[in-house]
Amino acid sequence: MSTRASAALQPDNSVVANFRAWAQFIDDTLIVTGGWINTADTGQMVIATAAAPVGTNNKVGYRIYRMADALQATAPVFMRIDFGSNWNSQPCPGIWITIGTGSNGAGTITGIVWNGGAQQCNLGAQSTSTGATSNSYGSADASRFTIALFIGATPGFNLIFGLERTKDSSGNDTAEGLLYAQGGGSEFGANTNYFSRAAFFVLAGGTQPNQETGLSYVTTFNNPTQTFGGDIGVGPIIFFKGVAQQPGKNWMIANSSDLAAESAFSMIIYGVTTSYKQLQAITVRMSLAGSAQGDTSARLTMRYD
Amino acid sequence: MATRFLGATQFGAANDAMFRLSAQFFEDTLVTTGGWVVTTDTGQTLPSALVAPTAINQSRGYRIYKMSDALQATFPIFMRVDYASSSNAATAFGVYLTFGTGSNGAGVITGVALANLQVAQPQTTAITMNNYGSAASNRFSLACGVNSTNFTYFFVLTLERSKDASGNDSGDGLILVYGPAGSGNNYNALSCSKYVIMSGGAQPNEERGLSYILSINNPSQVFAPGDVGVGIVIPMKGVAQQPGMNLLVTNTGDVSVEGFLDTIIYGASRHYQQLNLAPAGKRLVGNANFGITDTNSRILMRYD
Repeated sequence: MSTRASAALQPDNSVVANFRAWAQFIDDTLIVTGGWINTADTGQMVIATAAAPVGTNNKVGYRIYRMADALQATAPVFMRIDFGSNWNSQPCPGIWITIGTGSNGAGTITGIVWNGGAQQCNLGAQSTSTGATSNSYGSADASRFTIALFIGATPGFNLIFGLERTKDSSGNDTAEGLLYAQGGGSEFGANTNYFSRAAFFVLAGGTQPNQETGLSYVTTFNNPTQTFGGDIGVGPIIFFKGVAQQPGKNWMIANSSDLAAESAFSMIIYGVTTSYKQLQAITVRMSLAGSAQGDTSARLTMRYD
Repeated sequence: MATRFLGATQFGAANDAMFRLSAQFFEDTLVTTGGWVVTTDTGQTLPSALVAPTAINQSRGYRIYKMSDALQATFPIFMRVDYASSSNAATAFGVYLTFGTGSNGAGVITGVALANLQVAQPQTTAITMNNYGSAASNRFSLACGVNSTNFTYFFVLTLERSKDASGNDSGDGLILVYGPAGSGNNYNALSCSKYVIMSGGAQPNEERGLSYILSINNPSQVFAPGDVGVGIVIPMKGVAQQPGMNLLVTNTGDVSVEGFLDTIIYGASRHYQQLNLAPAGKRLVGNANFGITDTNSRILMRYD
């Protein structure tokens, strides 16, 4: 089980220990749980001694990670995470993610396919608390991760994101690209309370697909799902590179009445049993042509094994 | 080409001539174009003898048709069509559909899997419109009242056998997509689908809102080898089933108005007709208002 959980994290930067704790959880999920490698780039933040953010939209420091799977030799993936505060509230956790194919040794990602670091806080909590009851979950291996922080009854606390390699029709990783999804209390300088963004990054560079700002998935209208033969339906998130691509395994959408809050389930995808964790009440936003709509009775689940 | 087209006509039930023409197009698509068979049941009314309804939800006569494909011997499908008015206006065209595995010779469907499904046009109009039909002995697609003014003049009904993973017909059931009116009330979009288990028993509920996958980007971005994306309507029997081939959904920017496209589905090239301003209603989980109108999506129906 390459998973990690904590009931101790707080969606808060006002207490420096709280800031360090949630940043450490992300770092530990990637490195300790997943086997990602922390690069030797200079200038990286030491989480244990980091200061709390000062003001809003404040990057305290960064860490650079790279995958450690077999494809890393030919299709390298490097990710820089800047830790700090969200766009409009110093106590609210925020992160910036920059993804590319290398780093220059001094903290700069090269071969950039996603420059989240150049945005306003590209993912953050919207609400803050020093006494909230919430759970944080992480799951990772050398070629993927899912992280969901501050999961509870208040979606505004949430900070949820995940990355995996693109898949072939058998579900094997491919070198072509990356499947990234994120959501939570806020992103890109706006409070959202949605999980709504899916992106296909082409590792070879060049023109990148526009990010999908609503999710594409299929579940039944009927809530709870009717059962014929015992199964209930879940929908994987479909990513686009112009047209729909093979889905990844990081996320499943389910109907609200089919799974209890923060419950776990297993299913077979691409022939392999894979486990998932329901992520409470955050609203999934469904793609329409040219717009998106909250699918308020749909629920997000993340890979958790 | 098993298609039928009738352009520049008024479609509806506002008077005898209009009602008869509308019903005749329905029957001709099934029988003449598709090779469905009219049974010998007594009590049937020829479309040419129908009298226009005088009230909403009013049946004026029925016809019974059966498929004529190879599976009909082992998985028979009989369909009774009651030609009627709509649930919304006496002057608008509608049908009641009953599906079963036989008939008793006197107009009663036996082995009923689905009874009295109403599919209707919300309202009719004096403007002339296009009507498209496509059928074979195991399926049909109808889109009538196709116009550029208002989706509430439309009548859309498609039916085909369920599919296996290779796209071959299976005996398990039927895949229906229909709207705008009838049991559905989202008059602004094609929103209803239903999977009918022909062996009877508990049936899947109607899907109120369609399930399909399309990019939010409109028009679609194009990457090598140059394809644009289309969405296929996913039927549900509890969980998602193999899709049929009768309908596709596209973004407005990808296919021209009443244009067409060819696509390979289940290994075979199929031809699809864009249906002017017809949008899909996309399903929201548990939303009883028949999903949300996906304003910038467009319906295409199989037309070959």
